[in-house]
Amino acid sequence: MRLRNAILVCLVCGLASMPWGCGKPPDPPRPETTADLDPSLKEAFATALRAVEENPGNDRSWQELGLTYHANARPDLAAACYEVLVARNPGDARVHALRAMALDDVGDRSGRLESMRKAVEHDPRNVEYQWQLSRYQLSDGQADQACVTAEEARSIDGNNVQAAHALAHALLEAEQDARAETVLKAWLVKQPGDLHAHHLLGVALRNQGRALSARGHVAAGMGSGPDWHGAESRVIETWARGPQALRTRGLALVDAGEADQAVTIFNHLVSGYPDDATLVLNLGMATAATGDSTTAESLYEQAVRMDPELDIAHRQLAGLELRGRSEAALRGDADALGQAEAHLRRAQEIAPDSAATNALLGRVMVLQGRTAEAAELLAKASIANPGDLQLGFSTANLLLDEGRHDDAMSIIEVMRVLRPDDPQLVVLSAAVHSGRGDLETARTLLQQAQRRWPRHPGVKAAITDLEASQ
Amino acid sequence: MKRGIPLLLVCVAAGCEGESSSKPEVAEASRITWLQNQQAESGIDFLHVTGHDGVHLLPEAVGSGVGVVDLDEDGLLDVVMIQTLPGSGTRVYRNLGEGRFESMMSLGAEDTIGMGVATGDYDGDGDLDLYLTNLGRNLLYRNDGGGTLTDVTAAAGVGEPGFGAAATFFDADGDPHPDLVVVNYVDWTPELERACRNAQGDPDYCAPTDYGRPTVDVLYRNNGDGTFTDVTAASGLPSAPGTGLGVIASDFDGDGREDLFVANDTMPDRLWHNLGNFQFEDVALVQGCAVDNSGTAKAGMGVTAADIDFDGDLDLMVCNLSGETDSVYRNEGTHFRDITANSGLAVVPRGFTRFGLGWVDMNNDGLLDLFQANGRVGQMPRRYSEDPYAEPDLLLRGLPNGRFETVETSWAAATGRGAAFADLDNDGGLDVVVNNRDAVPHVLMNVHPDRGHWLLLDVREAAGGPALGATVTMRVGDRAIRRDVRTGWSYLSANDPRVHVGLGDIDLAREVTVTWPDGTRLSLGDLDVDRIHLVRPPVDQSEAGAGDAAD
Repeated sequence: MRLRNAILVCLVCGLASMPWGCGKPPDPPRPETTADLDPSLKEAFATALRAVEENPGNDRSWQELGLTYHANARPDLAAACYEVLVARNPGDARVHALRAMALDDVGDRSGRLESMRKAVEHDPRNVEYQWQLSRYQLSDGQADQACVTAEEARSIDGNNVQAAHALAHALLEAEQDARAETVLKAWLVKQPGDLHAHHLLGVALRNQGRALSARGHVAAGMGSGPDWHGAESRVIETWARGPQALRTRGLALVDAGEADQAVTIFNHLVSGYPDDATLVLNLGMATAATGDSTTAESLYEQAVRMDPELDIAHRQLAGLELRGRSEAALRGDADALGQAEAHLRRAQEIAPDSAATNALLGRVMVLQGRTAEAAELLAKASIANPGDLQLGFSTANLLLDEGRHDDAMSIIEVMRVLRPDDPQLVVLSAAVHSGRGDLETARTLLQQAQRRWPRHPGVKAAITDLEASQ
Repeated sequence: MKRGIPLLLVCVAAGCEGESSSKPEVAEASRITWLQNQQAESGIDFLHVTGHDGVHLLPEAVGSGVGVVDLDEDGLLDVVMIQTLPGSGTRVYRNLGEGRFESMMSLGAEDTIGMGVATGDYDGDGDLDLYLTNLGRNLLYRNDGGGTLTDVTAAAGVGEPGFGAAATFFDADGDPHPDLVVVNYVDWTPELERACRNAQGDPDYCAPTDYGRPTVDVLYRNNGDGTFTDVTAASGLPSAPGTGLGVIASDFDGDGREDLFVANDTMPDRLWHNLGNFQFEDVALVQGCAVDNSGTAKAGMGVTAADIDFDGDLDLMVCNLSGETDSVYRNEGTHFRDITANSGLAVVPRGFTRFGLGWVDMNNDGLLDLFQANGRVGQMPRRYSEDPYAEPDLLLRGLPNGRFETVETSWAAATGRGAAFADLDNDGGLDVVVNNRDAVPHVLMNVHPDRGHWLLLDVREAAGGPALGATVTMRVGDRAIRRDVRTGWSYLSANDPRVHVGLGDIDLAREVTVTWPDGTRLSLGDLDVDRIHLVRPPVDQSEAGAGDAAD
């Protein structure tokens, strides 16, 4: 009788959907204090908490609370929310994955592994869960197992960049350097511009004692971090309500060509933080991307007034002088070039080693005919930013014109690592050898290029030029 | 050290209270007390003060260091606590033994902001002198014996006026006079300060890259007559300006010359290979320690080096910012291999901002443990104490499989910066002093109840000063142990110049050999454990290998 009553009570209170059974639902986790939090963050926490308190049986509310905590540097509280969801939905791979990521951020090694294993168990064809599990295994010292898991991820999606990186990292930690080299070389055939893969290939070569071969790849991949942002991580990031997350989102929108949305976000932020010069600058950048240069200029000037040391604002002002105008028009406009140079000089004073400033200032100087100074700046910028191939091409050409053959060759070598199949780079290499007077090497290079790319007009023209010069 | 606005998924890690799911695991075997904070009873009543007054100034975020050095030559290491606030606030505490100290003197200058400390016998008189790095003129204090210090900065010519961070005396040229390298942080003045915000949108400290003004480190040649010559310009160091915070000098490639590893904050680290004749070449990129496998330049701060895998060469570790893993490099002879994940250090430390750093054997089991002094440089929603920058320090036990596991600690969270490692009470257990930002220090005495046997080797030069750069090798059981005589490592700090070795259950160190920087070797044979051995070089080469010069 008692059993029947218990069943009845449980049916009434919906035991199947409430892991806490018929008792009181768990209290949602909360920060110890919110007194020191930014008002917008405090409000975000309060809103999400309220939703859970009003409807503790609602999965979505718990998930939103967890995401809000997680996106705002409280993974410990997020993990507790996800734990409730896991108890309610033990077969849902996604909530296991969310919990795993929160526990990873907390530093709970075994907890994150266990949770991500469950995510994989419930959704074994999910490439994101597989490569994340591989990463966790790797940082837990299970390099061999991490290799197996990453291979599985690659078998699910051979084009997934994180899976490729995870496999390479695992192979390197497992000291399977030759295998890592093979995998990375195959990957780079598909993705020659993957700078992090170049970095890892350099590491694999170096670990095999091939320092010279490694050099170009390591240099090319310098500063390239692995992109560990899988689908779930992106969910967490985009959930963020904190001002910095909004700022990040706004900048991403500018990059994605969604300038109007970005303007809305930055207007909102500037109204909340009117004394923040960087946000005014960001609003200017978003505004410029909409095509409204006049408003953008006034915003940049406002940012400079608020913080004269904001080098990016000076650079943006210089950029406005040049934007949308042809090279020929700019060459004849000494005033505009002078204005741009003044802005860039100020930016350079503030941050002497900024590659972006040096690149732009170098371009202005080219237009002013000051090629020797320009070559110096562009070379510095190009070395600091090897992934900018357009900059690399123009710099190498300029250095060649200036007779700085060794410097030109250094830049070309890095670019050839990034683009081994680019005939233009072979032509450039040949031009450098020719400039040095080494016509034999130049000819050999061009003949090889002709065999490889028999119809390429640049190669043909270079051969004609070389023959004519003899 | 990078702040401003980190990634959103910033780790807030170990030591969390509350939800059971958010606790990093601590091995049951590690739940005994290893270190106990005895600051209150030690007599070290130093209070670090940044003078923070609402405006976030870069120097407040990074200072300060701590030094341990026997200034009065009584066999007990005294403690130097560096003060950020300008003036004579840096304090020296005399070690009275048994973990007790008394105030000894004050150091510093009105126009300098204190950062770090280095020790070395620059004048060859047999005692260690002090070099203090500052934002502003650095200061050299000559030890005149008996605990008397004289400011000889101007006469010695080492008053580098930049934003000095770490410094170390080392042997650049194979002569008996220690040279000096000073690592500068950023070309910064208060007028260049910027308005930066943290992830929550509140005003906070900027990252060094926000200023875009890296600087060149400075190399001084010791002339052997009490003066130095700045040889930076022709040394190769100007070829790669950086944002240096950490430095360590060691012969990483075994060519007989001490090289320099510099940890840069958010810029690639440098390994300056010593080519001889005060010429250095940065080989970090080629040799694999400019960045780790992540490919990104991290916020390098503290550095430590030791032979963690018993293969006779020096491995290397750099600690970084919250959200970034540490970088652990195994020396492969021709290059370094990133073994951070395999060491088990890719998860727990990532939740903290680590500054002071040491591979040290805390339980004397023969395996190096790891201590990290932690404290934030940007505020985060989770707080460990009233101090918004406070974090718990980390102690990780070295395991036979080369990995590390967390040991439970009991002292309060603070904003840890420099950490110095030394056997303060000469009981064979390594103690730690941590300089905490805007707080009293931690004086962490080693109270591990089951420490193994130990040895301390006090290796001296002929003149009597510690033989910086000397190497000690020995066999302990089936392990080949290597330790170097070195004071400059960790973060802005100077450490015990004596070599400490834990032996576990083994009660004899076999085939102990000392090699001085000039190549002189001395075989000491087998040494008894649980005592301090003083080792001097043979008077002439014929003594080398002839017997036991230790006492």
